[in-house]
Amino acid sequence: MIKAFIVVNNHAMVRLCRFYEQLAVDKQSELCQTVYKIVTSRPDHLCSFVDDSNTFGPDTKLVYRHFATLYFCILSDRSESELAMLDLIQVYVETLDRVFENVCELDLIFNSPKAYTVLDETVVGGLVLEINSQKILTVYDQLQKLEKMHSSLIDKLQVGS
Amino acid sequence: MNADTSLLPFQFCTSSSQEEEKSIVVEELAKLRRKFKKMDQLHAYDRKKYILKLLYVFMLGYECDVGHAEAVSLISQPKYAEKQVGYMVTSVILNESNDFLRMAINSVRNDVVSKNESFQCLALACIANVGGAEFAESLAGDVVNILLSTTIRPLVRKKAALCLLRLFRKMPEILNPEEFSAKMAYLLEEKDLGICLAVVTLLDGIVSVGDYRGYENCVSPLVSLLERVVKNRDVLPEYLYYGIPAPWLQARIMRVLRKFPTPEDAETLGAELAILKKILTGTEKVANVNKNNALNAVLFEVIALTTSLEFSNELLDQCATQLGEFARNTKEPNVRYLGLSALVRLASSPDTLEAVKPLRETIVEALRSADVSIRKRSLGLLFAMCDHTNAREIVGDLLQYVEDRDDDYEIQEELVLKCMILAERFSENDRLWYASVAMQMIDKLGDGDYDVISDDVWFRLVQVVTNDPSLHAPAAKLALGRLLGGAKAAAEKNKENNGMNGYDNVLGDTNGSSTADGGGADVVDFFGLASATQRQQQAPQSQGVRVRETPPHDMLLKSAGYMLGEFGYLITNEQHCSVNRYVPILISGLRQSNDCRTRQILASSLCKICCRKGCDAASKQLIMDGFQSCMSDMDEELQQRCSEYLGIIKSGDAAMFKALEPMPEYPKRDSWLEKMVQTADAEDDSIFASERAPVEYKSVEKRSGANNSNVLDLGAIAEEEEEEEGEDEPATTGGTIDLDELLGLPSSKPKKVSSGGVGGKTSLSLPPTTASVGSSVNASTSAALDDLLGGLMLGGGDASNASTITATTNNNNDPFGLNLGNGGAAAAALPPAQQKHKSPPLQQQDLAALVGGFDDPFGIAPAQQQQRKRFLEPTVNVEECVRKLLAQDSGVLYEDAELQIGIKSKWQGSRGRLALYLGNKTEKNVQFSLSVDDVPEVKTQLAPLPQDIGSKMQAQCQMQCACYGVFVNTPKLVVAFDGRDIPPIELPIHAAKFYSVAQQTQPQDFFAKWHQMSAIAQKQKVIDVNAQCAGLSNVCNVLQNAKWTIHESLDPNPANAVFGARFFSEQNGELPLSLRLESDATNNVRFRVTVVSVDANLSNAAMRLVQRTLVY
Repeated sequence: MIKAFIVVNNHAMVRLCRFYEQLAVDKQSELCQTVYKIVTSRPDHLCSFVDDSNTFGPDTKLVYRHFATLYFCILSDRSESELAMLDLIQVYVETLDRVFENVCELDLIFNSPKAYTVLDETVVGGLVLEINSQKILTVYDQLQKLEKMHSSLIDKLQVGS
Repeated sequence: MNADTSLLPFQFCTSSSQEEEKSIVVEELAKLRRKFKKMDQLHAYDRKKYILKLLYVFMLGYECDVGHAEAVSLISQPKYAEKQVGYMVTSVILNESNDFLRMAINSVRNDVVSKNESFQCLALACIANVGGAEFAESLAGDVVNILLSTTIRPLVRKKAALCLLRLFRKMPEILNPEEFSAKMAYLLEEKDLGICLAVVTLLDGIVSVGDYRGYENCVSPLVSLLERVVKNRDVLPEYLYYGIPAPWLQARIMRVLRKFPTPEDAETLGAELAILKKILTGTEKVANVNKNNALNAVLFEVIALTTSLEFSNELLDQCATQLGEFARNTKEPNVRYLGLSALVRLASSPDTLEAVKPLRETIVEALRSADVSIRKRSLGLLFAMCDHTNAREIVGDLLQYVEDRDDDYEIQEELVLKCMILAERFSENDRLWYASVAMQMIDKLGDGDYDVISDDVWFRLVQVVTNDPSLHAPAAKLALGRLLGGAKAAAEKNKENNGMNGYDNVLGDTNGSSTADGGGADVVDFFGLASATQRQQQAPQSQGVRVRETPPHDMLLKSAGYMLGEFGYLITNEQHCSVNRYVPILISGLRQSNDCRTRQILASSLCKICCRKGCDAASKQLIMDGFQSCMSDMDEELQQRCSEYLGIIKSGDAAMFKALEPMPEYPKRDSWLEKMVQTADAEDDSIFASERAPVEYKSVEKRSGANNSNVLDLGAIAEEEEEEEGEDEPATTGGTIDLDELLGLPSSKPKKVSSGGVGGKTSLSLPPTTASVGSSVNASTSAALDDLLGGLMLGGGDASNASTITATTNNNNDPFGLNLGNGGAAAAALPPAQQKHKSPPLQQQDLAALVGGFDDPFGIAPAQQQQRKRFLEPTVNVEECVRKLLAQDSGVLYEDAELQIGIKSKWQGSRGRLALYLGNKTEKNVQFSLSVDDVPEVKTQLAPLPQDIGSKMQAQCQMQCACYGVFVNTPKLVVAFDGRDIPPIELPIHAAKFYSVAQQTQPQDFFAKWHQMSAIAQKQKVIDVNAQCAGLSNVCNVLQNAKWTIHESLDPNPANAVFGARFFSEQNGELPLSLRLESDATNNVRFRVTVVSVDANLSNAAMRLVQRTLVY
């Protein structure tokens, strides 16, 4: 099971985080900072896995991937395959790329709800829901349409009244 | 999002400093708070906007205490856009224990059962993220129905499957295996692979939380599914990932299969093995990284499954070869890491261990990788694959690594621990090898600021050596060799021999030219002890001697010093081992080491050396000089030790020397180190408190337990040894000290207490005055004895030994007027000096560590208070006072003949300020103290207090308190006045004090909310109120005084009244409460009270308080 999905940039700013295990808010940001420190201290040619029970406790491993200015990090328990986690990050980034057309950090800042929606269509409650980027995109588009339709309906109603 | 919402992030982007960002947040939160107050009037778009702003502020790491209810309320909105924002924010900001979430259960359920699939999706996703036990209870049935329904879209059903897993984890009872396993098997035949993946994930979750039993019928469908994907490639194009059919599903299925035992059904097993073989042989490396990833992900699962299956032997070799290749792959660190991880699994099973062994060199190579993740895996693997056949090589590899890279702090500590465990585990035929490894490790890494070697390592060494008499002399020689600087020679020697058989020769080889006599002339002089001329003379002599470049570090001094103190006398007659060779080193350590413990241990050791045979006059003099010079040392403990030891040596009393006999054997225990490794992964302070034990380690331990059953249990080995040698054992090693003789007391048989029973039940403590140097002979003797025991125990005490002494003392009814505490369960005799300045008691620590941890070895119970306390009856009814203070903010809290306590309080939201007035009614100045016996949910803080109150004067104490959550019990005030303790007084900090005025609402709103809350936490009672407040209006007045807000004419029935309140706490913010009072037409004191709120405890507390105010 995935315990947390964190996207953090080169300067320790958390761009997106989702915790699938209950954790107090201060612990959450503490954990994000810990993850940041670990991933930024590892050059790119090292492996993408960190298994450090002193830091994360037992049964937790960190899998991360570095894209441009962002680190995509997954904390999961031992029941998840490391390579599968790497794939998951790949799929997520691919999907974001299609949603935003050449995704960059700014997209995550200004459109974080969209990024969350994509994540929620990929991972649910710490478990992988879908790993086909096209399928995720289809669902995502439907949702966007739905949202727009309702919004415009509401706006019209409000303006009318 | 529209421009307005994105403005906030934009502001943050442009804010240059942390302060600026903070001020924007504060401003923004204030604005949000204002807006949320009139949520109902907001435009739908604005509502969404503000809630999203809240989310953004939250994500930046600021605490958001507003808007939770508003976020939850968006969920029940009918429009998708609002609902979506509501769900999104709810699942990010709230967690399962949040009360607002419970309020949302109904709205969520409405969405789950609705016909609108988008709503269903939102609701399911939300439950899957934050759902707790309450959700499981009320929604599991609906979720299962969605999963099983064939008419609902696959997307929804997938979500339902994952949602169900979350609920199952929160409450396993919701799924009954007998009933659900059939449905599960049916679901596994589903056409849509997306659903299959979700269902397999669900099954995986179920069998790893509980166990596989009950779900065996799923194995066959799982294998068929795997066949369908791998063999028949019956997969829609969208599930082909770089041409591989659904690699995720493949991997997941194999992961689940691993959790089941090997299928008994031959057909299923055959199919399973065929698939594994197909993948194993059919996988080729490709250039595309992502495709390679997917291929490898499957391959690793195949290997893992193969190793866990029986009858898969022919495939195993293939697996091992493949993994060896992976482990050698330095270009792709990911693959290398995973290869090593998989090998750990392979090594954990005795069947497959053989396949791993040839890869030792590859693995050792990985130990030198630049990547710490890989190094750790490699170390773990070496530890797992070690057995009798390769223990020497592996330990040798580890030692070599330490020699080559002594700056690898990231894994060093673990490495030392594992190396020592292996050396001990596989050395039952040659303990000396273990001792030599331990000494080498200590020599190499004991120094340094990083504490890579814990004291436990040498404690364990001492324990093992002491318990094996045949080791005593060689170990002493070994220690001497290390101390004199044989480190390098030994290492070289070891390298040559690889099997490390060079240890017993260390001394002879390295010190060939030294002579045995001559008062320390050829002793290495690190500290400038010897005169310059001596050094000159010495120089040509010691050319052949390998001399240390640096002085020995503390840990080496401690361990070698201890060994020589204990066993040095056994080797004095051998060549190059005379006392004068090492005494000067130890003395210089005693004088100049920076570590107090080292010096204390050295003092004890030197004393032993001095009093044993083989100590020449010059060394004796050196030791006595050393003690003399330490008698004016800064460290009190050392000062005292030296003075006592000097006394013993000078007295020359043979009886005294008996106290310096070698230590008796230790009780047999498992190595503390083993426990450290076992628990290292199960530490509690993990960020994610996981209940599951680390699977891999467990299996490793289990394996070694099964494979080398006689190895792990060191105790058993030692026992055997004792049986063999017990008869010709010299009496001295039995080590019971004849205390009666020592003390000159009438003989009484010392009571031998087994060490398991945690020693004698007495605490022996001396009045501090006897500790000073030069006190009366009698006192100093007893102090000396006491301290000697301390000294004995210091290096590693023995509970039975100590208990003999203390028990005897106890039998003799306190012969020296020693202050014996009653009831203490202490076996350790604490030197008075330690008691004086409260340094951590050394012996206790050492002992506890050495003997492997008693349950509560030295919990010294405080001596019982003999003095009777005065007690004065209060002159007021304390209970009555508190009751009055429930309804008013000031009044008398307590009064007796000497003291009066009054109180004034002010309350706002979750905080309160109290002023206590203590009046001294006596004719004298009185000392007093105040403290508060807190409850967890209420924090109180007392302002600094004066120490006394003048006669007929009043002292004022300010106190602040804050409420952090719902509470029932109240804090108590503990007052000590004029030397007497007043029974704890209940402070008037009741839950009701944190009520604030409730807003007036419309009847329909009120009752809608009432029904909502009554479903969550309702408390109802019929009470007969006190005659003084009979009648509805009186009761209403009292309740209003107790901070309830009456809703005038809201209840249609004039004989009833309804009240509201808002309970404030720091953690939960504001929680609403409502109360309904129904009067009885026939009886004007009888009322039915109903309290509802969103928290059961809150309702309980409120009801109790209402009762207390009205019934007395």
